[in-house]
This record gives sequence, structure tokens and C-alpha cells, in this order.
Amino acid sequence: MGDTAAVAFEKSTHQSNRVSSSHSRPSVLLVDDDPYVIAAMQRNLHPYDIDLHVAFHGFQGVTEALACEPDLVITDLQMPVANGIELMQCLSHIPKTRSVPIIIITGRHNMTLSKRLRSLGVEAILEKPVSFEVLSKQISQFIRFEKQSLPFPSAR
Amino acid sequence: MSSLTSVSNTSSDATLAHSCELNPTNQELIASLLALESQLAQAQKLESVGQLAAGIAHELNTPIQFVGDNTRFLKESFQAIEGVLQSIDHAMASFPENEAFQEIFKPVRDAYQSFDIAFVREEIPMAIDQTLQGAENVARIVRAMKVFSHPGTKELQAVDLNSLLESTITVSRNEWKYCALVETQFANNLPKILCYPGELNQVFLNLIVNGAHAIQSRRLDTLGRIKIQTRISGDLVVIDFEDTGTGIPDAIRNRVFDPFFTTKGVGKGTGQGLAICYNIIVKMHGGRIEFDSVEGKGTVFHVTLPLESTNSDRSTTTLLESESRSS
Ligand SMILES: Nc1ncnc2c1ncn2[C@@H]1O[C@H](COP(=O)(O)OP(=O)(O)O)[C@@H](O)[C@H]1O
Ligand SMILES: [Mg+2]
Repeated sequence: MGDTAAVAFEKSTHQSNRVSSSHSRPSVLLVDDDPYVIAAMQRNLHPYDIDLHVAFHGFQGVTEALACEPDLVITDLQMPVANGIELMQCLSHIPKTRSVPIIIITGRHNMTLSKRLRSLGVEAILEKPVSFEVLSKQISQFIRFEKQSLPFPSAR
Repeated sequence: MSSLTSVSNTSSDATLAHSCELNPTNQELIASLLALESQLAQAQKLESVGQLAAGIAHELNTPIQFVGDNTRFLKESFQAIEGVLQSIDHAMASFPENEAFQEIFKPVRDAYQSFDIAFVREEIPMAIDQTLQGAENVARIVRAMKVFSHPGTKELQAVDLNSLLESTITVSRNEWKYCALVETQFANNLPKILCYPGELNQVFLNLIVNGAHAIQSRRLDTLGRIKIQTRISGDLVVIDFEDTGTGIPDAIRNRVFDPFFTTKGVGKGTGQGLAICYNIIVKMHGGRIEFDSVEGKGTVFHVTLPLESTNSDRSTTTLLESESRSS
């Protein structure tokens, strides 16, 4: 079961990388250390007309952000290598990414932390588990977030 | 440890200490020491249970996140697939009896007939909906457990009492679901109040469990009722916990708040519930806790807290607010 999910996940990553050429589509960076969480969100985001990029820890998040210059970052907090706070601190020091809006999706949440996050310019804090409906509402506050129409599949 | 202070503060211990001062016999000293020790042990147990619950809730966050997301994906996808299947149904029903057509679509027909596709198409959406419901239940319990086992009980926080009560009701469901229906009537104009949320959760839990026990003792065939109400009265907020249980007999009216006073059997009652409630409400929050009771009918506990509403502090913005802002 694990293998199938992992394979499905790899496939969808590739897909989203492949379509990353168009400039008019808003670009979104999703960062979480759990590949299944990323995979499940990718499946739900698939119908939308966005350019989705993923990273599995804060450091990869920074590299990816430099490459894709996202219009929105959605990130977890507790992650290996570099956590969400470190990711945000890095992004705020890079001119290209300084003003990108950030949505936090975190498992652990308290007021001291939320104060700190707000002072770092976080726009929204969502607590896991967060429903896709709530997440989409948040996303649509920051970028154009619409479903894309698909071409009719041609016979293979 | 808050419960430790509670012991020296509760009324009966004050008299105990008083009499110790006048006439300190060894037995009295030993008795009060044992009482302290037991209460401390109880407090530590509660704290570690709380930490454990917080840890478990945290571990459940991630799997329940992707179980929910994946199930939602399956639901949407199957709806789309069902649409495609319906147009295939339609096309197949209107084929001309032409040999060539029949030949081309024979594999489709065979595939359709190889299993009970009507059954599957009917059951899949229900299976998915029920799974989504289950995932949402787990998600709600996880959220409630996190609110409930709030680690930062040492600092005062501005809290929405209604949602605090809601999470206590969710967490304690197993205590009341077989004997009672829980009904809520919440004031919708309640401002956030400054309090120790972890401690208040304990009070609410104790009162709900006591109500459920009192209902169980009546051994009725029908479900009893626990009604929880919040209301504003002047510069106070009142929370009522009403049950249709046995009521509190006049003979023990004055003793129920005493530490270790219980009418319940070993394993069910410790007699500390109301003593802890008293300490938390009266000593820690400057509030009141009282009750009205009619034997054979039921009891209402009134918890009254001062309503020092805090200025809307941006830092207290929670998930709920960020959700509603977007809607
Ligand atoms: N809602 C209630 N209805 C009837 N009796 C109650 C209720 N709440 C408390 N009591 C009485 O007060 C006693 C003390 O309650 P408490 O301090 O919570 O300890 P415990 O529940 O462990 O017995 C109970 O044993 C019971 O006799
Ligand atoms: Mg009790």
C-alpha cells in the first residue's frame, strides 16, 4: 500500500513540474515533511489552474522558492533540516520572496507561537487537520484560484 | 502545582489547619499530610494524562489530514466517473442493432456484466460519505483533545467559553452517551474572558461526569438529560450544568465540596471533583460555584465567573477567527 501511494506521489510531482512553464498562472509552493500529506493535497489541487511546487523541508523550500518565485507559500512548521520559521526568516531576507504571503498549516498551535508567527508576517494560521474547503478559501484570498478546463482526452 | 494550593485553601482544610495549630495531635497531622499527598498524586496523574493526550492528538493530526484529503478526492473523482458511466449507459441503450456496433461494444458489455456494477455504483458514494464522516469525527475529537489538554495552563488566556465547553463535551462523550443527551444553549454574545482554560476544562468535565453519574444512579430505561447553558448576567458570565439525576439529599448538601467526600463506590468516586472545582472557580478565578437540587428530580450547578472582557488583542487571533474572516 505504501509503495503504490509513493509511486502515485512521484507521478503527480512530475506532472506538476512539467506544467510549470506558463507565467500567467499563479505559482504556489507547498512545504510539508510528510509525503502523504503533500500527495493528498496535490490530488485535490490538481483541477486548479495553478503552478504547484512542493518541498519536504524548510531548506528545500528556500531553494524551490528561489527557483519558482511563488505567489503563495503554504507551509508546515515542524520539519527536519530547516523548520517553517527558519524557512520564513530566509524568505524574508531575499528580495524576490520578501513579500510573498504565507499560510501556515500546523499540528501544534498556541498563542505564544501565533504571536511570533504574526510578527513574522504570516497571513493565516490553520490547524491540522484542516479541511480542503477551508484551505481553498484561504488560498483564494491571495491568488486567482479557479478550476481549469481540460481538453477532451484523445484516443491513445 | 495548583491542586496543592487548593488543599490548604479549601474551607475544611483551613479548619483542619486551625485545629492543628491549637491542638496538633500526630494523627491529625498525619491525616492532613496523607490528604495532601493523595491530592498531589492525583494532580500529577491528571497532568501526565493531559500531556499524553496532547501527544496522541498531535500524532493523529497528520494521518487524519491526508485520510480526509484523500477521501474528499475520491468523492469528487467518483462523482465525475459516475457522470461518464451514465453517458456510457445512455449510449449503450441507444445503439442500433447493427452487427458492426455490437461487435465494437461487446468488450464494454462483457466488462459491465463481469461484476455487479449497479451495486458498486450505488455503494461507493455511501462508503465514501461514511468514511468522510468518520474522518471528520476523528478530526473533531483530535481538535477537542488539543484544546482540552492545553499545556499552557499556567498563563491567563482570553478564551471563548462556548468553544471550551464544546470541546469538553466532545472529549467526555463516552462518559454520558449511554445515559444522557447533552443539550447546549449558548449565549452568542459572549465576549472572550480571561481564564486558565486547562483548569476550567477540568471543572466542566467534573460537572458533566457528576451529572452523568447522578443520571445513571436512577437506573431509568430512558436517557436522561444534561443541559449546559451560558448566559451573561450584569458583569458576570453564568454557566449552568443541569441534570435529571438523583438530586443531592439535604443531609449531604453541606459536604459535597469537601475534599474526599463521596457517595460513590471505590473506583468510581474519589470525592475530589467538587473540591477541585471549588478551588479552581473560587480561588483561581474569583468566581462562584453553587447548586440547586431537588431530590429525585435533578441538580443544577451554577458556575459564575467575572466577565472582565479583554480588548480584542490581535495576538489572541485563533484558527476560528482566521477561518471566519475568509468566509
Ligand atoms: N450532579 C450531581 N447530582 C447528584 N449528586 C451529586 C452531583 N454532583 C455531586 N454530587 C454528590 O457529591 C459528591 C461529591 O462529588 P465529587 O466531589 O465530584 O466527588 P465524586 O464524584 O468522586 O464522588 C458525589 O459523590 C455525589 O454524592
Ligand atoms: Mg465527581
